[in-house]
Amino acid sequence: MALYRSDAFVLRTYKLGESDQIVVLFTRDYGKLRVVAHRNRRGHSRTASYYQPLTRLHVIAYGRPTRSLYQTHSVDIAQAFRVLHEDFNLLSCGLYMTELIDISTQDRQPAPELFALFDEALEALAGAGQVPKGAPASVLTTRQHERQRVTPPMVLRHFEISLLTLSGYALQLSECAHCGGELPPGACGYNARAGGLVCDTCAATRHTLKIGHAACGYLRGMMGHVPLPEMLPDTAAQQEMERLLHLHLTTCLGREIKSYPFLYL
Amino acid sequence: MFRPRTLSILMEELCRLPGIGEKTAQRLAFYILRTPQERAQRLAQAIVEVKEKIIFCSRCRGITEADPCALCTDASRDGGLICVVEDPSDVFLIERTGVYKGLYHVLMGALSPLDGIGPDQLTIDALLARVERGGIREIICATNPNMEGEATVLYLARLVKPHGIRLTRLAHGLPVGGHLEYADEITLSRSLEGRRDI
Ligand SMILES: [Zn+2]
Ligand SMILES: [Zn+2]
Repeated sequence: MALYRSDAFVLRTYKLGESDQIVVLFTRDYGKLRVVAHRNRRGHSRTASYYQPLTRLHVIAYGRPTRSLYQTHSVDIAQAFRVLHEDFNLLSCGLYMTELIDISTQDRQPAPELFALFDEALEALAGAGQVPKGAPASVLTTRQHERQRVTPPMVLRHFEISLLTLSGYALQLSECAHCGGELPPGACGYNARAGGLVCDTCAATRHTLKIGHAACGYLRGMMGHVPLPEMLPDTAAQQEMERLLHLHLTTCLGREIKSYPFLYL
Repeated sequence: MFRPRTLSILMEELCRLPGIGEKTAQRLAFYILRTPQERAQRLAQAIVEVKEKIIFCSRCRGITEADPCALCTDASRDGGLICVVEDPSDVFLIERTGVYKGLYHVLMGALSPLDGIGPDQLTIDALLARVERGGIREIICATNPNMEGEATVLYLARLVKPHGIRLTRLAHGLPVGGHLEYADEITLSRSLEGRRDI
């Protein structure tokens, strides 16, 4: 019997029989763990409300290390991220990240960097939801470029790009992803199969997504290749980044992301 | 194990019912076997009829034998109130309380981003059509207090609010007959928020 004590996020819950559930946790120290949450016969469970996605828990679980299901000894809420549960758009963004984490992690494979990324991204998303709409200009202009960066879509872009890098699918942005040649200085083509931007010669014979100069620059900034531009890219450039990252994610992860359409409802 | 074929088939079918394991299925099958012919006939007939006669109400999507259903055509009910629920069975839960006198709308599920269940798979369009026809003062969301239910409420809020209709949800509160000590922090904090004057 082993004891597992860790902070954890709920990724999913499944029904188990009539009244119990299997809760898929993403723990900081042990990776994904599946635990059984029992309810009594009337369906009451003191901890049922804890097992909702977008809640950081402190969990003590136990079980045989060779088994795939664990029992919980105790569960406490470390952070509830209430704002994310009160706005449809923020909830959709949070669940989209939750699904990506679920796809990118394996049972009992510790991924502390991914845990930290997820935690930070949820904080940032909650923060983005708290910037008051129509607040006086003075509030918004203090550290303006920092505030501007934390719009929900930009939180998602940062999350996607970092998740891809941590999962071994880093975008190739510094040289041609196909031939290794030099990239043109301005706009570039992105090719999903090559896994990044491609030079004009390679782009001529491949299906590419056109990425403008501003989006290329911002993406390189997010990857840490160059300093991040002070101002957010315009709407068109943000859309290019969004499309590129979605294509890269679905190609690398080999599947569609179910919660993705909810971002645009 | 030897078992007559017909008995095995009955047990297999009973086993498919929720909450019925093999042992219970055997007990039920033998009970049916011992039961008088006409009682067994009535049970079989009831199953066939429920499948043949029950349809969904074209207004509220609840279950009924006549369309529109008795709830929708009851003139004594308040047509300005709609209680939105996930499943047809929820209508009967709320009716059992005897305190609600408005109409219903059954969504046939809840939004679930993680399962890819979107608004198209629910009866949200039909609800909006009812809203657009006018005469509705308030929509009460009685979806389940979990992530799917919450997502549904937030999405409905976005669609319904522009129509200037009051949108409410069931209070999250303490179970009656329960003990404060056994309430979790989330339920307790929501109960505090939803407190009322005495
Ligand atoms: Zn090339
Ligand atoms: Zn009806």
